Amino acid sequence: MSGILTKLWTALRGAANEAGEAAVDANATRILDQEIRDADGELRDARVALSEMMGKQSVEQNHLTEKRAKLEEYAGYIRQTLAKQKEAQGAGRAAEATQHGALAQEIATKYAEQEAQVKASENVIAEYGKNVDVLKQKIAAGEAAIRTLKQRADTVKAKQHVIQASAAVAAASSGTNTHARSALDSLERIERRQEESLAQMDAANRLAAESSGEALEERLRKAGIIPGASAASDVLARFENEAGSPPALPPGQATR
Amino acid sequence: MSNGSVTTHSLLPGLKSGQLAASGRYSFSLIEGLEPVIQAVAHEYGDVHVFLAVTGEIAIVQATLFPVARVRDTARLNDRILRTEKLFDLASISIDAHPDGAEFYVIYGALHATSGLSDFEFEIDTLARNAVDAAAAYRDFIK
Repeated sequence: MSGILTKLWTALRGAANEAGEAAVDANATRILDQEIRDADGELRDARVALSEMMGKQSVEQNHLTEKRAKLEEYAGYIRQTLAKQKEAQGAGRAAEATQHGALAQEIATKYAEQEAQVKASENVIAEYGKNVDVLKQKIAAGEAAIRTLKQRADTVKAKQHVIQASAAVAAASSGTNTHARSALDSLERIERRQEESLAQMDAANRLAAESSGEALEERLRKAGIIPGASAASDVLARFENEAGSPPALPPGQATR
Repeated sequence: MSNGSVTTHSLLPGLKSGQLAASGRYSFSLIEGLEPVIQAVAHEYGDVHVFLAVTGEIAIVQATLFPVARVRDTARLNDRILRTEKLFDLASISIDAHPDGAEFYVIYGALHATSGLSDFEFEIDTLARNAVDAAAAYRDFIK
C-alpha cells in the first residue's frame, strides 16, 4: 500500500493545484492497474520458478534413489568379498585371502565415494526443498497482494461508475426542476415540505375555528362588544370596595 | 455468479421486489451507461438519490452531498468532516469529480459483493439518512 501511495504522490507532485488533485482518481486507477499487472507478472514468474524447482528436485530424487541402490550394491559386494576372504583364511588359502582383502579394499573406496555422492545429493534435495518453500510463500503472499490490489481497484472503479451515473442523471435533467437530487437539495426539500405541512395545518385550524364561530366571538370580545372574562384588576377593585364601607346588607335586615 | 457475488444487474430485481420498494419508501431503476448503475430514490428522505455499483468484489453505495463550489471555506469544512465523520455509521465522505471536472462532496459506503440483499437494503437506507443528516450538519459551510 505504501508503495502505491508513494507512486500516487509522485504522480501528483508538481501538480499541487486543484486540477492536479482531481487527477487522483484517474492516476489511482492507472497505478493500481499497473501494480496488478506487475504483481501478476511476478506471480507467473514465481509459479514457473516453482515448477522448475520441483522438477529439478524430482530429477535429483531419482538420482538419489539410483545412487542409494548403487551404494547398497557396493555394500553387498563388500560383505560377500569379506566373507570369501574369511573363508579363504579359514581354509588356509592365504594368497586367495589377500586377493579378497585387496578387492574388499577397492570396493570400500568405491563405497566411500558413492556415500559422499549420496550425501551431496541429499544436500541438493534439501536445498531445493528450501527454495520450494520460499517460492510457495512468495506465491501465497503475491496472491494475497493481488486480491488486495484488485479490491482497491474495484473500489475506485465502482466509485467512478456511481459518480458518472450521477453526472449523467444531472446532465439528463439539467434545466428542469428535477435535477439530480443531492442531499442538500433533499434537505431543503424536506424542510420545504415540513413548512408546507405546518402552513397547511395552520390554515386548517383557522378554517375550523372560523366555521365554528369562535373567530367572530373572539373578535367581538377584543372589540369590547362582548364582555370578556373578569380581569384581575376588576376582581381586586371589588374587594377594595368591601373594605372601605360596611357590607351592604339585604334591605329587610337593615330596619331591625 | 460464482462464489455468491452479485452484479449490478443481478441485484436490481431483488431490490425492486424487496422491503424498501414494497413499503413504497424507495424506487429503484437502472441507469444504463458504460457501466450499469442502480439509482435508488429515497422518498422519505426528500427523494435523495443513492447510486449503487458493483465492480468485481466491491459494491459502492453513494450519494452526493453538495458541490465543492458552494462551500465557503473548504479547509474549515474538511477539518469539521474529519472530526465528525465517525458519527455517520457505515459511511465515509470523499470528494469526487464528475467527468466535466465539477467536484462534489459525496458520502458512500462499501460492501463486499457477496453481501446479501438485506445488507444492501440496510446500507442504502442508512446512507440515505446519513446523506440528509450530513447535509444538515455541514450546511453552515454552504454559501
